Order: sequence, then structure tokens, then C-alpha cells
Amino acid sequence: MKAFVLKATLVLSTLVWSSAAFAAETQSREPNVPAIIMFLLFVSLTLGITYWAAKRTRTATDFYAAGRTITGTQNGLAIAGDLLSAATLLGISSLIFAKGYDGYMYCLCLLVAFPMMLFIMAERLRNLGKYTFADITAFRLSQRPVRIVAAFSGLVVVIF
Amino acid sequence: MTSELHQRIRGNPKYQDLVRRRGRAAWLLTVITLGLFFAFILVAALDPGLLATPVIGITTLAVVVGALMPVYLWFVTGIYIRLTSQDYDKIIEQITREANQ
Repeated sequence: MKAFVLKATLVLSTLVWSSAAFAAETQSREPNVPAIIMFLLFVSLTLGITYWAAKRTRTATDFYAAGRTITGTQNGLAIAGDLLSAATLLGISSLIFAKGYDGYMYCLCLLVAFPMMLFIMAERLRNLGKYTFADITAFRLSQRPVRIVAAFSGLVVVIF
Repeated sequence: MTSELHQRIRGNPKYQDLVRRRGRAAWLLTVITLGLFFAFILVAALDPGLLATPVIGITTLAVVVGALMPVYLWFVTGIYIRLTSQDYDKIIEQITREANQ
């Protein structure tokens, strides 16, 4: 609960600060009240759902696999929602706008990666009851080096 | 899970056959998909002129291939799902039943 309140305050203060900065920048413009209300509504709804879901999460299975109660269709919708994100709508379209066909080939690369994961990893994840790629490799090989390599590669991807 | 149970499952010829077949199918699909993808990338890199040939009106081969790629990936995913749900899962169920007898 504490973390939730903290997050909410953080978001609100960021909003107030950014709208103040925005107003200072463009003196003549009125604050866009409907947009701010929509934003606040959206943020509070998201935080509310997160809080509600976090209260129900007890185990690692709950956290990673939703207690293994999600159906194929629900999971498909979740993945589709995940991919219809800012990265797809803004990133890919601007990439195609800037680079032409090269940008199009880039988004084909993303698509090819998914069946590869399905063919090679999915079955193993399910059979071992593990959640991440590092878990599987650590299960088969020695724990520490595998986890170190996985952590480093994850960090490198995040940084670049 | 006892090691005796593991031995019984490992000794089951159905299990050995399943493991072999499943591995072969997964790698075959992987190799075909990656082969097609890299063939496409190599053609685009080494002979861009070929992809620039118009096929339908002014639509070039590149656009047609690019549009067919997701369709193909959708299709192989369908094949894999069909294999797992109609073939593997039934055999796995049989093996577990035999092992618990």
C-alpha cells in the first residue's frame, strides 16, 4: 500500500511539474483540461488494477504465469496488447518512414523471433515448470555462471 | 517423482519415440523458417534489384514477399500447435498413465 501511494504521488507530482513547465514554455496557451483529466483517469485506473492484481499475487507462479489459469485466447489477447504498444505504433511506423523498406525488414525480424521461441523454448519451459530462459539453462548447467551471463546480457539489451 | 518412475518412463519405447519425433519436428521447422528468412535477407543485401522487380502493377516483389512472410509464420505456428495438441499431448497422457500403473 505504501509503495502504491508513493507511486501515485510520484506520478501526480511529475504531472503537475511537467504541466507547469509546459505552461511556462508556452505562455499564451491554456492548460488542456480534458487531456489532463483523461490522463489522470487513465493513470489511476492502471494503478488501481495493478494494486488489485498485486494483492492477489502470492507465489512465483501467480506472478509469472498468472497461476497458470489463463486460457490460450486470453494469453493471445495479452500478447497482442503488449505488441500494439508505443514501440509498434510510433517506432515501427517512424522507422519505415525514415528508412523505407529496411524498416519493414526490421519488423519482419521481430516476427521471425516468435516462432523460433515457440519451437525451441516453449515446450521446455512448460515441461520444467520454469519461467525464464535463464531458469532453464541454470537448471541444466551450473547455476552461477549461467545466471551471471543472463544478467549481463539482459542489462546490455536494456542499456543499448 | 522417484528415480524408479523416471527409469520406467525413460524405458518406455513410446517416450523415446516421442522425444525423437518431437525434437526432429521442432528443429525441422526452425531450420526451414530460419533458412527462408536468411535467404530473404541475403537476397535483399546482395541483389536488391531482384526484389525491386514489379510483380502486380507497380507493386514490387519486395512488398509481396514482406506481406507473405507473416502469413507463412502464422502458418508454421499453426502446424506446431496442431502437432502439440493433436499428437504429442495424447501420447504424453498415455505415457503418464502407463507409468503410474
